[in-house]
Amino acid sequence: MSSGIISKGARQLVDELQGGSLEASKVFETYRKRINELTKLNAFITSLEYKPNARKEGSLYGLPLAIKDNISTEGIRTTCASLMLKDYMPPYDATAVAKLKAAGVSILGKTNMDEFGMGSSGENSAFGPTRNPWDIERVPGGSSSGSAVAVSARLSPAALGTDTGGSIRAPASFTGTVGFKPSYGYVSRYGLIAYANSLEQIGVIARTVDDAALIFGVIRGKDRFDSTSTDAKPVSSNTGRLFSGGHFKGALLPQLSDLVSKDVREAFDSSVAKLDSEGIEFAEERVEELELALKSYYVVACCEATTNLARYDGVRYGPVADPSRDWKSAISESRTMFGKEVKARIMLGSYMLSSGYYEEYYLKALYIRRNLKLRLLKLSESYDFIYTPTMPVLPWKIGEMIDDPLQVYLSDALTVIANLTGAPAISIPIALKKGLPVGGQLQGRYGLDDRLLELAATISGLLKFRGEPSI
Amino acid sequence: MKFDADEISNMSLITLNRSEKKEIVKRLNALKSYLDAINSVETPSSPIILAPEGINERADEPIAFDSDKILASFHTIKNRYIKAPRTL
Repeated sequence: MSSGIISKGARQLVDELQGGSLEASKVFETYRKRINELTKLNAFITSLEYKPNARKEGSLYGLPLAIKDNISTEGIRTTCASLMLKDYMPPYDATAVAKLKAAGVSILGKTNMDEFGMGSSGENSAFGPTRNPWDIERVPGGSSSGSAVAVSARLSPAALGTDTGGSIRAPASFTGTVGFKPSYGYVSRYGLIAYANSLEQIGVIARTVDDAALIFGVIRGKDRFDSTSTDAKPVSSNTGRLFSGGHFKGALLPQLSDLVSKDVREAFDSSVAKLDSEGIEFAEERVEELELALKSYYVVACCEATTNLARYDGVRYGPVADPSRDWKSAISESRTMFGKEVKARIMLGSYMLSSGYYEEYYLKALYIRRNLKLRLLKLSESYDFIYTPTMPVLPWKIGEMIDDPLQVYLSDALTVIANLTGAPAISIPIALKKGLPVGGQLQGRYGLDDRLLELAATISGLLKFRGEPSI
Repeated sequence: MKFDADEISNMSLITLNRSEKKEIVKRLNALKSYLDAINSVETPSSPIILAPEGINERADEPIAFDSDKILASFHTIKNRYIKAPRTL
């Protein structure tokens, strides 16, 4: 087990920094040294030198944090792990970053990721794959791969990630960390480099639920620069179940169990049995609308990616091609900077948005999404949370899935649900299998993020997962 | 338009080299055949992009887009330097 400063969680560090028993510069330098020692994990694209934060009265004063490299940081290179943006220097901070800085946070660096957030493994980066600290031959999950690895390997006490289809929860599950995706709109997306606007959300990866709640408390809230952001309470919160006397009721979705490997199912079933013995009630529910959820997700995500990434044309963003060429070949030349996965999704999105196919794919995907949202809203009137494994399999070996891309896409099946509905969801570590972490996912009702965090903290306490990689 | 990689790459302004093409076509075909099941979903004749009632509703009014204010603030932004992109 780690010791000293790196063994302390975010909450403990903040307490000791504010109490004066730790100095901000010492905490930062301790983490910086460890980042430099563990470059083999490839968790950071850019690591920074210590820059004191003058906000000594801030609630997080002196806390060092890592930021995913698709979140804009003023004057700090922000690449989205793409050659397209390898020299891009944002002229402003994302609102989430500005709030953290105002609270006294110092940025440790920008973390590696799947290019533009497209991937579930951490392998699709122009800066090379991120490696899992539990077994460096295996993937750490993605797309917030570097953020999760940084937290798991004690390179940062916590980190910001983004979640479009599970990109916070998947790597949290594969690295034994806590990954929290807030309700859609609860954290401003201003300054988040867009991939699929209607699905993505900035969230937190931390060592404990309490640490995730601490960071979330600072970055949440309405922002005048993001018209989709909100801090309003949900309209019908009174129809959701209220926790009473510690009695919780969880829904299980057995129809998804076919997707889940034997190892993960064993770990998950053990956690259900343990929680059941502690008084948490579970019941199985069949949700027909889930059958097409993943398909709906990929249609919406690819279509939105096509639209959002149209700005990388060598004029607005991206390398400038030879201006003497015609516009079409100049744009095409600039767009050679995209990686394979990004190219594939842009192409598929273009196809599905083209005349004659828009109605067959995109509109039908929206219809499926709406029905799923309504069905799960109804379900939340009878349950406090939906409980599933986070990832259906254990972390695979780097390169192992290259010949079977569909299996990688299918690994998102359990996480995309919360992105389609906008509900909050959190992955907590529940067990180790074959020396690798397994995560359990709790999905709550839209807008009841605080309740979900309370519940996750309770369940985490009951399951008592204790483990960290020996790296 | 048929599902042809050359045609789609041309339409989406994406150039593929030979090695990329092999792998990307494999990914495209895998995803396309997986997603095709969506075609069989029957949709109602009523509009389908309406937000469900009672969810994600906002109590506030959106802030008006004040272009004069934004333009006026431009010269107050510090460190406006943005590194110029490279020429290929």
